[in-house]
Amino acid sequence: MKKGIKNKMQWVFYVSMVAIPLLHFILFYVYVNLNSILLAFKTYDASISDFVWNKGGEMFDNFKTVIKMFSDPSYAPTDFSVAMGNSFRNSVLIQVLGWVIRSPLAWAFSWYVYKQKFGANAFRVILYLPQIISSVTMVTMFVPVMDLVVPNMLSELFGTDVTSFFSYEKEFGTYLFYYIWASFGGSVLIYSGTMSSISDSIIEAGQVDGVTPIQEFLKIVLPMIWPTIATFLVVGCADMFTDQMNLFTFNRTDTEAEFSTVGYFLYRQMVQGNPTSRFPILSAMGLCLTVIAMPVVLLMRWFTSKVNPMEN
Amino acid sequence: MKAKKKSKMDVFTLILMIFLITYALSILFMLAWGAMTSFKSINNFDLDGVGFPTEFTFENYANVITNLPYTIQKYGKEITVDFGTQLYNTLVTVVGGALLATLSPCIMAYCSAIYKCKFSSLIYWVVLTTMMLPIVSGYASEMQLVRGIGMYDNLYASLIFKLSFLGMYFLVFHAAFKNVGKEYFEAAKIDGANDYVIFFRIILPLVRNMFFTIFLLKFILFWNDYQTPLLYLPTHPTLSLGAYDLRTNTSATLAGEPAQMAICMIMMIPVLVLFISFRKMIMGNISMGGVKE
Repeated sequence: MKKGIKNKMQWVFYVSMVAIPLLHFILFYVYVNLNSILLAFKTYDASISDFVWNKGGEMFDNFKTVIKMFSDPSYAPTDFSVAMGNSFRNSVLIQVLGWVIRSPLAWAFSWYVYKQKFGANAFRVILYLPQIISSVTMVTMFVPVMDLVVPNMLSELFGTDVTSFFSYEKEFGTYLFYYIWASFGGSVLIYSGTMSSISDSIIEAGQVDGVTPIQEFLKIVLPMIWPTIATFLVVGCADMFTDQMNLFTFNRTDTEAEFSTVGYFLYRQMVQGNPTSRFPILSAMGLCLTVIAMPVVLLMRWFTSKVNPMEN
Repeated sequence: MKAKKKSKMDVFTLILMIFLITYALSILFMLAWGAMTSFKSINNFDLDGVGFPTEFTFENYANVITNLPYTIQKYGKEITVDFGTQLYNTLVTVVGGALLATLSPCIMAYCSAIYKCKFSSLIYWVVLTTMMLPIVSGYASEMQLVRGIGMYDNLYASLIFKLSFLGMYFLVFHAAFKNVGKEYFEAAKIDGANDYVIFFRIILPLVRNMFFTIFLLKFILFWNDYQTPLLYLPTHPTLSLGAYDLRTNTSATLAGEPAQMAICMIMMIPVLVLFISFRKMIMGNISMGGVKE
């Protein structure tokens, strides 16, 4: 039900209710992002403890530095504790892994839960557990299990010496495994909830036509929940360069640059030492990454609107 | 969720079932190992890190509660923040934060869904657009603002952070308010209720289950968050930050896996109790985006 604002008292109500959240939005979204753009054209002057504009030929110096950081993984500007390493590549990699492993697994498990197969309710709860248990707790338990317990058990089982899953050669694979393993339960809850609103008559019509369970999953259920899948894919793209892959929880600021992600790199630069002098370059980097991510999001929106499984 | 007819086991279902059983066992094994280790003495753990404890001890829990330290630098001195203070900081940020983070999208969604004006449409458009905008790292600018307005390292002022109405929950509330029948408003008007009374006494109780569910989800989110306090509240550590800090603690009483597992259990129990108590509410039929017709 929607009604017009008819009198002064209703205006008073409306303004008094939206004022504080709106002020928050103006300060913490509009101002923060505009200031971020301005900071990208400034430099920190330690002698006056303030930011000063880059003038003349130095105007785009911060952007030049960022481009150098992107093109040379071993380059770290002054005041930065570490280089970007493989951060950019790894952020793209986990995004792709999300598309090709995490999402299909989440869709399939959601179908299992939706169809109320054996143990569905218990699996639904267990899948959701990593979402409610803090990442600190999960990682604190995961590290000794993969470092000590599982290698010991495998060594005893196969009679050969199995090294820690945090040894140098296995470390990055272990981070990727944890990233997938601990992260898809929340979407299962939403996907299975959306699947449950599919009309029974559609499923029954498919069964009368003799569709197999996998055909029902691929040709009826997935196309029916396509709007939800599309929303997840688009919003997921928007998080591409903010995802830390839990690296800060695993290693604080000590992750090797070759295992780093952009999200981790940015957060690390904010908490390590005094970050004030890094603000301009970090802001310029944020702008560059936004410009890179924007077409990916738009492309995904276009793709999800054009690829309509219901029509195929 | 609707009950579906159980059908014969096919290969696809069997493969999924094997995957799910493996997944569930891996999660449960890790939790069980963590719980078991928290009752081991450090000597017992050193001798056997995998098996059952030879004798159960609550020493790790007592040590963690009495000694969980978080050392901060304040006024040029090192100060240790104890468990009780960390618990207080946690309760302020988690309960206050969850309440504000639920109320803000609720209020904005109500105004946008019920009152017809250009600004209401603009609010809706802003929420949808910001969800799709891939803005990367406003950390530096945000930190500058937070320091500038005196919010930095201020426990109570930091609650202002939680007032954002952007995100999915705005849309959830918006959909709920749009479905409220006009008879509620008409009856209230006849009884002489003003707009405040209509919202707080009539409409808000109608969506109380949704409000409480979102409050719980935010509560769990903030309870588990250690990165925001680490960045913006360096001298007001929460339990989550204390637990995070313990991972690198080298003191005699707190070093080692048994003590770390004990703090994990302490951190986990409140959210598990909440989750189990309100499981049906939290895991009720959540859907987003709808299905194709």
